[in-house]
Amino acid sequence: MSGSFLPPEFAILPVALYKSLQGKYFVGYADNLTASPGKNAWAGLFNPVGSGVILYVNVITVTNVMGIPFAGEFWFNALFPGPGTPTRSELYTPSNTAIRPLPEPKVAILELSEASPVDPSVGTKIYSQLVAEESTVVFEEKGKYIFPEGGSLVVRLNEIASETIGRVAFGWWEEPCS
Amino acid sequence: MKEETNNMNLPEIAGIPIDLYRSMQGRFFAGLAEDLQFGNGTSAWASLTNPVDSGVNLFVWAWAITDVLDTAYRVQIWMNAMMPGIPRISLNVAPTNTAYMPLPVPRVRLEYASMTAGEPVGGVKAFVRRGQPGVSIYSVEDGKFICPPGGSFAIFLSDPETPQIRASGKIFYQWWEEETVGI
Repeated sequence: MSGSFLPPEFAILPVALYKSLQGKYFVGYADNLTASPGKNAWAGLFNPVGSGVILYVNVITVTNVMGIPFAGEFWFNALFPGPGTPTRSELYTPSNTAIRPLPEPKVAILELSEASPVDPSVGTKIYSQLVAEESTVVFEEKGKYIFPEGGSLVVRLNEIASETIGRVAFGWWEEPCS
Repeated sequence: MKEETNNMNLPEIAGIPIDLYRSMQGRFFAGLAEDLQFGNGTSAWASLTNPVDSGVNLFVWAWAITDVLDTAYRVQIWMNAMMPGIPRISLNVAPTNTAYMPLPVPRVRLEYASMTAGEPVGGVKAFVRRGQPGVSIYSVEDGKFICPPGGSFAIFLSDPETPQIRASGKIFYQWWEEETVGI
């Protein structure tokens, strides 16, 4: 084969690596979400108003620790009804730990256990599937779930048939708003 | 690291995957059809339906079938067929880029129907799968299934092997839309 027709070679950096090199990529999770029958629980990535960044969600995982399946639902930009005050998860880190000082995310992981089963009044449920006992489902979205300041992606654990423990983890990057 | 240990020196570029790129452009959408009931000799389906006057081509990025628990079942993928029954339109549809202003509205509709009689008419049965109870099917198609205005991409669920069993499930789609080239 003639070498004159060979295309140039490049080393391709996957986008998550590229964002991590820049200190823009973070991972984190909500541990031990609990819900009893008649309740549910949720955890989500929340991009605060005034954050100055746009949120790009790359990875979502939903883990069922206990022995009965529950429904894992993805909600875009929903407002979840009380009662109960969500707490901020402290379980997060930049994926690039070689940068000094360590980057701090603007986006927060908020979570609420034993939450109201009422559907949110705004927002869109774009996915739902049963998560089997003692299993993890993984979604790799390559950053195409995108949220502005004030936006959110929430994973709700629903259809709770018995005492449930779940974990929800995220990988995301943040870009300054232009 | 000693540089002389490795003489590879290719230019490095950052690759933006096409699904991320289309989402950044506000062209990418996701949607869910729930409570699809079939069995007892009936079928269910969910389709991405591209209206005749949409002005866009439909590119199917990915589809999933989840939560069929009670039986093994047939999956048929139909392109550009007339699907049986009276379709409903799913409202569980959103642009994946919710930071894009104004918020993009899809031209393609996510339609679905339960407990339908008969087979799809016309079009092409493009491929088939077998589904196992409780096992999700998630297939990334990379946008290679492309339907023009007036076309559709449909997933048809049935269970003729055990017609005494009732079943239900959910179908999820991700797709993008591009303007058709002018005449």
